Amino acid sequence: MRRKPIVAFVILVVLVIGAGIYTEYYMAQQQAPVQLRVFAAASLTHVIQDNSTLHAFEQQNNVKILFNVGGSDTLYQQIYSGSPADVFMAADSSWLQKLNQNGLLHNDQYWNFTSNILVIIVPPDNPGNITSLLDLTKPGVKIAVTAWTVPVGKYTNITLTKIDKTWGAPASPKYKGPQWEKYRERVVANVITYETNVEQVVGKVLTDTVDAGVAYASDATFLGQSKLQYLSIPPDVNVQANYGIGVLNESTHYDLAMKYVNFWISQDGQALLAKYGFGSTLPITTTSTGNAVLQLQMTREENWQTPVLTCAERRR
Amino acid sequence: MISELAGVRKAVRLKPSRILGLARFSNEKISNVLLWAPSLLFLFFIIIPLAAIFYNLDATKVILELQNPEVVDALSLGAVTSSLASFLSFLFGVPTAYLLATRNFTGKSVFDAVMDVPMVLPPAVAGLALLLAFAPRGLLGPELRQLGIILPGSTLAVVLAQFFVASPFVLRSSKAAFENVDKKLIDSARLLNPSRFGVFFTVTLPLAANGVVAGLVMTWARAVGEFGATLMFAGNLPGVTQTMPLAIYMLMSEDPLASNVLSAILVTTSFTLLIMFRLLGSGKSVHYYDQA
Amino acid sequence: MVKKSYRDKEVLRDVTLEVRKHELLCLVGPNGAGKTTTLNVVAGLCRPDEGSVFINDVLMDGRERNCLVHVSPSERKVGYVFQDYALFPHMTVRENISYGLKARHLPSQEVKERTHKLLEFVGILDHSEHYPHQLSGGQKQRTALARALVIEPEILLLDEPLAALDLTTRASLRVELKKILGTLEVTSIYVTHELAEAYAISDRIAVMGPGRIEQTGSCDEVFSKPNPYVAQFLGQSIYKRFDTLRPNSTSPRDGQDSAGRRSWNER
Repeated sequence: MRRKPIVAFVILVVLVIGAGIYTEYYMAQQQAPVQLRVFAAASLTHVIQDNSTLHAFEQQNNVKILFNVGGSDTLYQQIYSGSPADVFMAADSSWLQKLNQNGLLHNDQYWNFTSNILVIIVPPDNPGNITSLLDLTKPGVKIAVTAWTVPVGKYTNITLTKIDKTWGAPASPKYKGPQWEKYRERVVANVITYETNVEQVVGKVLTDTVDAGVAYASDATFLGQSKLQYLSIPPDVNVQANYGIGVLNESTHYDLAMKYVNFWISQDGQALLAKYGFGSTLPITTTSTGNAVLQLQMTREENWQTPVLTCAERRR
Repeated sequence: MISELAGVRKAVRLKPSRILGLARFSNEKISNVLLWAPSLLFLFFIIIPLAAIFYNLDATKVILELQNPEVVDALSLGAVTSSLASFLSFLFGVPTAYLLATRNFTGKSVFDAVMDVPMVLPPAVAGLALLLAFAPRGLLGPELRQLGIILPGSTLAVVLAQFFVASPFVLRSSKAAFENVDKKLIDSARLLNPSRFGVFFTVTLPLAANGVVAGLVMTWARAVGEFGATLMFAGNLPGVTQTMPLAIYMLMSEDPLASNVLSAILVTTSFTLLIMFRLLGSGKSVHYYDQA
Repeated sequence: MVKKSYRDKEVLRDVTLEVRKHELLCLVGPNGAGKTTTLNVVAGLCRPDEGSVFINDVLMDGRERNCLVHVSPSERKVGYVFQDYALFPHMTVRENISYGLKARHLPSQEVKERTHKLLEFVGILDHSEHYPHQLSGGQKQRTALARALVIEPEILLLDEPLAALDLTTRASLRVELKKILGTLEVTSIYVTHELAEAYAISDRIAVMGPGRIEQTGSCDEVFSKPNPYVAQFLGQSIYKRFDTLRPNSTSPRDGQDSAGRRSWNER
């Protein structure tokens, strides 16, 4: 009599495991023989999963694409540790560069395939009444950004610093007045959360959890069809994100992976990206697919001294 | 004499119940309130967020989501991996618990403390640690790769991540259960049963069963909700490593309603199973330890 | 049956004990003297630091031709009745009793027969499907006894088996116990701190002091010619008893006079 519960429990466990294994096996059968693993930055979530394009590609090439979506820094860490991947699409080409420096990219090649710029997004009803960049410094305003290690977070940091140095430094030719002084410090004081990727920031803004967030133009224009409002950031303080794409050295499906990469670089891919709000550039930079230009790009950004996080900010 | 009485009177005058004007309430009533009030508040604090999940639920959306292959994927994946993780925890946890409960050896306290660490480690840190240890370019990576095992991006990695963070529960619980088994009972069994395994399976384990099962339930619950370590170590591949918590997290930004639905499904299934286990358990525990 | 043990531990300093076949030896002594530990050593649950244990002239614990020998408890064919019976709470009476037989993989028919015989013998046949928590103290004791006897042990060890019972049950069960053990002619060591009990049922008595045996012998020997320690021990017991009977009694030493002793002698 007292053995029955134990027996029941064991049977339950066995059933669940059995069902699961069967489902996995069954689904594995259903899948196409070839799997392509694409690690993609969170901001690309929607464009890479565009139904018609994705299905067309899969049908044509008899492949099933598995997407691992997350913050580019997390993805880099996983790839660096050896997590199997075929293609890496990062929101910051410097991650591709790092992989390249470690000899992990196929043929030591990677491409810049699209770009993005930052915008400030606010909820549809704009409860914080944010109408200008200066409003972000108002006390009591709640802002969401990503962690500084995520590409969009890095760009956010750079933009804030640029504003500080360009508009808020009396010595600067573009000084706009005392209200812009210590801009970065005041905005960071209003940041209440550092998310793990840009989609989370968008989510927080959509649900009115925060008054404003820093995201990509692609996020704003895509979802802007339904809900979000956004403020554009002037080009002289904005940052251009250069998205990189590359095939991993350990990929077992080099040809397919290259086909995938080529799609994004091609006209069709670029058109699709444009449709989803990608490709915005800043006038001062040049768009190009050359690695050399890419390097130049990166050095130019890195010239802006990114302040090291102080203890107070890190604790947030 | 008089000073004594004065002391008593003074004490009575200063009793809290008199100060608060509650003298008319008996001790019993006050203790009842003091017991029930925080308990009910605690209950409400837990119930209200759970209720909020179900409050805005749209029935049609629920059915829609249940038909979504990605959701079914996440559900079945979650169920399978947490069951496997729980099973592994049982397989390894019970012998370890028995060892820690019955034997003494040098370094035992260190061993004990180490086994507790996964419980206090932030899940993301656990995930990173697993990555650094078992990924192909990690500590043991090359050896694993020679065996043909590449963990990140596989379902096995999910099981291992869940096992890592959840197994301490069954370990703790089983250890306490084994320690609580009357040594005389085990001695009696040893005198009658020539096989030590026999003694363990016929006497020790059944008597410790309550504690072991309770620990298993907690382990399973923790495994189902595991997120940080899974995300870091196994990755976020729908159908392969995307468990329910990961799916909910991903959907939170795109489609908050879907995320709501998934949360409701997860809460319902977990709650049902927990209730089932509790009912199964209470049937057993009445039996024992009524002897004088 | 001969059994010797000699041990050097904090608990047992020097215990040398010999039990003869078919006899019931009572081990008496104050609490903490090491009576239970002695039983545990005989049973094999405790290994002595020094010395040897023999059961039926076979070495159970000790040195033989430079080999350290330790026979496991279940191999020794020892029956043990604990003070609190230690019945398996998750098994019925019948399952408790047949545990020893089933564990040795005896044919089920034989198991059934022997269990049934013993159930009848100790008198708990009508409770065979009950669980320990449903039994009274006396019934539990019978079950424990049956469980120990079913494997037909070479030696039966009883650790204050009647201590948890009330006085009336104790008195009646004591008689029954003596009858059962006498009928089966099983060699037993019976631990108790109740002198009266020891006197009533034992063939021989061994008095234990802290960590050592003080005196062994038949009841009359020990009671009439006690050594100093034993005398004090006996005297204290007598004094305590004496005290309840006659509040104005004389000192412990004086209480040793034959008149005082015989007044509560229940034989």
